[in-house]
Amino acid sequence: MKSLMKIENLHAEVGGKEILKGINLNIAPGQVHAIMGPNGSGKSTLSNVLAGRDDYVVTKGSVSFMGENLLEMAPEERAAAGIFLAFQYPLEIPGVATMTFLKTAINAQRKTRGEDELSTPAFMRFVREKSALLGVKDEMLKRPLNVGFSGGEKKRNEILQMALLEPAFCILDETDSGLDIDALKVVSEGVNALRDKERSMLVITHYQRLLDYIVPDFVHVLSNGRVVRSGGKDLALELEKSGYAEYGADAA
Amino acid sequence: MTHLTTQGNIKKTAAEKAFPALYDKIAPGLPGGKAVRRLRNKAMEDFKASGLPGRGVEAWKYTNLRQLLTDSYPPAVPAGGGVLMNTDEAASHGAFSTLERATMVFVDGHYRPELSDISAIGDKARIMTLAQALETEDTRALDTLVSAADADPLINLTLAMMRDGAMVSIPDGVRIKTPLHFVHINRTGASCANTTRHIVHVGKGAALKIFQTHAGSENATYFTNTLFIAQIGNEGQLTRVKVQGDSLSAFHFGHLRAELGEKAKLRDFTLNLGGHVVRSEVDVALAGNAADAHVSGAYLLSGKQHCDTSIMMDHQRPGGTSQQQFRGVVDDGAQGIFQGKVRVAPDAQKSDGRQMVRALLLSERASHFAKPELEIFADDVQCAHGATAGELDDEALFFLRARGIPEPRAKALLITGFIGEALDDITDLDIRDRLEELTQNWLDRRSGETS
Repeated sequence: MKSLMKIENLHAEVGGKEILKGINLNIAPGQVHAIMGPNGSGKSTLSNVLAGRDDYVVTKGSVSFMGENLLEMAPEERAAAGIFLAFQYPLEIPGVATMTFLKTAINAQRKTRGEDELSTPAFMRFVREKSALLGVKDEMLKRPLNVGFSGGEKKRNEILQMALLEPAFCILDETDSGLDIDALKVVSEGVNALRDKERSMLVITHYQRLLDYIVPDFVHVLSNGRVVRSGGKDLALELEKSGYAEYGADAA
Repeated sequence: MTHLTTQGNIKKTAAEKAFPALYDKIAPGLPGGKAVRRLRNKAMEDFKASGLPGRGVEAWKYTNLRQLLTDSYPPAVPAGGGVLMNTDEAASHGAFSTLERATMVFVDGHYRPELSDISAIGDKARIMTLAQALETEDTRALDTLVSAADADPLINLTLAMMRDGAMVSIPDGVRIKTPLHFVHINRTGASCANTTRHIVHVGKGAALKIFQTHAGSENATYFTNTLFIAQIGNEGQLTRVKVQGDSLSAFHFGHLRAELGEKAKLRDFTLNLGGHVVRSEVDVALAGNAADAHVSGAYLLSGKQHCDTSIMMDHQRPGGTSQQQFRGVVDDGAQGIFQGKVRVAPDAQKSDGRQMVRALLLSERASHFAKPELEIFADDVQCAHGATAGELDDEALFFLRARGIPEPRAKALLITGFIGEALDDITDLDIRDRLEELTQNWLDRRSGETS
């Protein structure tokens, strides 16, 4: 099988405490993998380790992305290489206009990849086109990044960034948290519009509900820092009925 | 701010002895006739009595000049016609050289007409130099020259030693669109002092915008002391945008004293980038009903810079509103200081005074002191103050990097955004762009040094 990302025996700790205790995952281009699991099982740690957050220390194992050693790259290099993390809690950054941020991010990635920067008119057209699809209003784009945005607006803004940056590998970290059913539909549609045979996704969620909208190819159950079970999309439905009790943690 | 003479028995420092000695030597050559000379002598006597502000002087609590100022500096000698310098070169030192404006250029404290151009506003305003005003004993100039032993010692020094400055008067009802730029340049590069006094009068319902920039030869040690006196008539408006980019070895003392009439407005912004020891002071008297003053600024410090911003808002009459909005970015072993005082007189009811200072510390050795003071003698007022100091937000930094923005650029974005909060009052986008560009240049220079 052709692999986009291969995670082997990945161990990681935060503040001296081991959270990931040997994760193995192989994700092929175009596949959507869901990671489910109880609170504290290591779901968010996995997404942060893949995105390159400083205070997460990898102690053992490897992650190869498009044949490169992902763990050696800085967060911005990973982003330029095609990794995108949709944050569980997108940051509010006062004083930084959303448009300035988007343009800086797009052009920084293009520059790192050795491509020409987008001109302002081309950038504006691109943003207008994508934001219309996600129902992101002009008024939101004029505000400082995420400042005064509702939970749903912040998540839509995340998916807008994903659409603009066109990553090869998307990590959705509990994107459903804090969303009502209408916002969940809009966000899921935005994500589904980005599915194609080259782009892979890792969808991290506590609840099965999100997977009704973003239907995965594979489901993995994470417990106590390890993948304890893998299966098809039906595994999510089974978990919805039985809960996480048998995986040794708090019930969902 | 009041300076109490408590130093009668304290031994004079070298600088305290040197200034009067220097004054005796240079006084005969300073502009002005006998009346001016008497005022100068009095100011120097007052300075001798008070000495430099040291420990125990509350208004100078964090800037002990008895310790920091070890020497006096001889006044700069006029560069004369021998030094080649054209308007473009002079303007290039200023931050606003690309904007339409009138200019008054002061090189080493001396007005240089051949480098200046006031034609854009010259026919609408009365403009002369302080040296001219002193020579003719212009009463408007003399009225502002009263010293007092309890006045700030640095103000007494400007009075005794002043050489030149701008005297600008905007007639009632005249609103001048073209900004007037006071360009201050230190050219000699040697150890020298320049003492400048600007006197600006904005008539009733009149309006004026001023740029004030300071620049100097890199690494030159000099002493610059500027007092800016502004009188704003009823419903008049004065806007000042000051950019201080003196040499990193220079002593910079800059003081704005503004008096506002009824419904008069002041909008003041200062960006402090340069100087080794800097005191940036703004005293506002809201002397008419419903006067309105916004005083804001930012300071970007590195190395061993010491920058003290001290603001006094004196609500003397009812219905006045004031705002102080400051942001400091402090790197290396630099020290930022903010003192902000709001005083509300007994009959200044319905006053509204607000103050906020936030500091960003970029290094473990960096420090910032904030001293807010409220002195309220009226009972129906609204006053608020806040002060914070912190580091760059790691979460925000990671967020930006995870979107592909390299670390230095991500930091720059966050710092620019932080400073931007103090720029809210600057509605002219051209000016705002220039200030953001200066911030960006500072950041680029910093990241160049550390990478």
